[in-house]
Amino acid sequence: MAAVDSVAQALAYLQVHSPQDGTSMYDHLVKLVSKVLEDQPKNAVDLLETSLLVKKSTFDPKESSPLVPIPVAPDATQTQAAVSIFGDPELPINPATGEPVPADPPNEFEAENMLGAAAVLDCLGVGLGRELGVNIALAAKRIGEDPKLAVRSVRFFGKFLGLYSDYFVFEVAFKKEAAKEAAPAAPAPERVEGEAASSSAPEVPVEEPGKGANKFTYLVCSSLGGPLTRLPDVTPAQVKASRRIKKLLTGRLTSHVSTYPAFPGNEANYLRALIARISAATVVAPSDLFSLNDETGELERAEDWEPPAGREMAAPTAWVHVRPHLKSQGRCEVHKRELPEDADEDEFYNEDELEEGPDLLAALEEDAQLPGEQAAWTPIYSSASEAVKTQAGGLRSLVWPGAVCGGRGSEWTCVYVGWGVKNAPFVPLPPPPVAQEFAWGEVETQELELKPAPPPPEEEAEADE
Amino acid sequence: MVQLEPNITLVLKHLASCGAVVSAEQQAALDHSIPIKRIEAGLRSLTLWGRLTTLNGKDYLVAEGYNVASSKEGAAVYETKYFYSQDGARWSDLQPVDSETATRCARIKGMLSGDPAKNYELEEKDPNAPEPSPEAEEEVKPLVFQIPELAVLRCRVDAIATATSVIPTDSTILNAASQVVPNRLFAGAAYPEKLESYQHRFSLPGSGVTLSQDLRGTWAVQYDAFKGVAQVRSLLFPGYFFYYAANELTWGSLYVGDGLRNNDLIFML
Repeated sequence: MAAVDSVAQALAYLQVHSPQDGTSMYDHLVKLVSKVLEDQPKNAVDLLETSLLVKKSTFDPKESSPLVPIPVAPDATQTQAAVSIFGDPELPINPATGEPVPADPPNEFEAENMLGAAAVLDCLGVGLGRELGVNIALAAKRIGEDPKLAVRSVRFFGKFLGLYSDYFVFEVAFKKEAAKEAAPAAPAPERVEGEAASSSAPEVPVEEPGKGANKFTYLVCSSLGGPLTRLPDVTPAQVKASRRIKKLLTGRLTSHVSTYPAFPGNEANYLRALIARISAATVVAPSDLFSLNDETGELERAEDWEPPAGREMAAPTAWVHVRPHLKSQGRCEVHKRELPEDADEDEFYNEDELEEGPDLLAALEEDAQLPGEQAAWTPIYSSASEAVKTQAGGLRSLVWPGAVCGGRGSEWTCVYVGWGVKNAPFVPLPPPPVAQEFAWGEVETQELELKPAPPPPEEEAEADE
Repeated sequence: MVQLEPNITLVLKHLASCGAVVSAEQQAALDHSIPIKRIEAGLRSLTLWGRLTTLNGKDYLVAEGYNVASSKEGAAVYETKYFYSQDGARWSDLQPVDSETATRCARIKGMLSGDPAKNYELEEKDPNAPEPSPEAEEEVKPLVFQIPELAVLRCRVDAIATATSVIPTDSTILNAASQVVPNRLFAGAAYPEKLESYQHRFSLPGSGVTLSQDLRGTWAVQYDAFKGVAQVRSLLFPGYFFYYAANELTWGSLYVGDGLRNNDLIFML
């Protein structure tokens, strides 16, 4: 025992833990001896394997992935919020008196019969089903009743599916124009490099709240009864940019819309631009129900409207557009620049400014056809048999898959449920032309700059004097 | 108790929020017509597979059934039979198509017409035709194939089924006869919010092949941890939805769409 001086030192050496599996020679020998004593093989000393076996067959409970998965902490917020839309709203209790705080009188608002609408859609096999229809109707009622929001009308626009969560969209019009100030200012159109078209084209002003594409305000929530977010007003630049891209929604309003060509704004702006395009194309009403008042430019509901019977609702002639056409300029009403005195109208204005779209209340029959002479709308019926008397009929849009309208008797509705993707051949824009190298002719010298000559010492001396 | 086949009512209930619905009349009819067809066709399992929208409004409902599934060459092979119906009440066979017709069917674009008797005309260059020479006055006539709509329908159903057909991982098991059978001891997915918890029906049980091995970005999962319900959506075939309910241990899927693949997905993510 020359190598080690004392027993203590020897023990210390044997008990050094192996960095690999954390055992030590001492532990191993203990285990080996106990195993030999336990098994009592005849020629234990000859069995080299005994030593190996002990080391190999030891179970080592390492810290690894748990055998039982840690469950995701269940978050009841969504479900609680959904429950809260049923029944009357609970009033907060005044801590001083112990009595509920008297509620403000509920707001008076206009809305279609949403439960009836849900039943019509359920008959037709479109929309979101009857059960969700009840939830949607109650959520819309809660929005309409809210005295703080003070809406004039509320309508369920539809549902957008997203990658991580979905959007329920409600369309509201406010009573007071004062709401204008509360509206978040539309972000200034960002100048995007490479977007040559827009930087050279004249600036197109945003349509004011309450007019054209911004006639209605849209509130979105990811779950019914959940917190509502007000979408910013849409700008013409956003509509134009959204037409050039094809993109799935993520489900988070603040996320960046990463596309080429770049989209000016975040997903809230993109969603709003989609809504503007979809509503202009697919928000419809039965024909003869509305008439245009020439003085105010508003739609007026006819008093004596005879709803068409059954399957007649499934004809494109039975429906008309009730939202103004969204022009390629990104506005419903074309904005024209001021005409200089000496300019010719046809030459000065660009294509966008001269565009003339279909009027309000144009029949769906006149919608532009899809490639292959395919009509833009296809009929859907609630029953396979023509003989069923009170059946529902409707139309399904082929341009915006997921947009439908339907009616049964005097109940009618239209809704959008889909991914927010237009059915149009998509041609991705080619990348921008490669930036030009700087012109060599404009460069003064290609060689290193000459060292500036030191000022002659005489001058310095003169200056000193 | 683990489910042996998807329950149509539950599937429609859980997937209605994605817009995967069938009309009230058809749903009522399915309740009677599916059991009848199951007995008629002598199938162990028959369930609603989906709905392909058409241009004339008479959508094709498609039902899928099978008797046994076996393990062959490293894959689970289901002997599936498909049936179609336009009213939800009367079901007709959807015959399989040979591979030559299938490649031709894939060239037919756009939504189906909704008329089962329709034939699509497809022109193809005649491979046996003589070389076109500038002197020849007569033009070489291309071959014209008549492709029935039902063949196109079957091809689209097949294309979707091979790319989707989702089940929870480990919900099936191989028995001693090399058959793939429902795993009656399936304990539920450990992580329902992850793609690893779901697999294609045709990957062998225990092979470890899950949806996460698919092309990245082709699936989207949403999981409500409180209700324990997960929704898996295909982005490659928009309209394919799968649900998995952890508490009641049921699952099922439905396809509602035009049957076309989303070829622009790469630009949309």
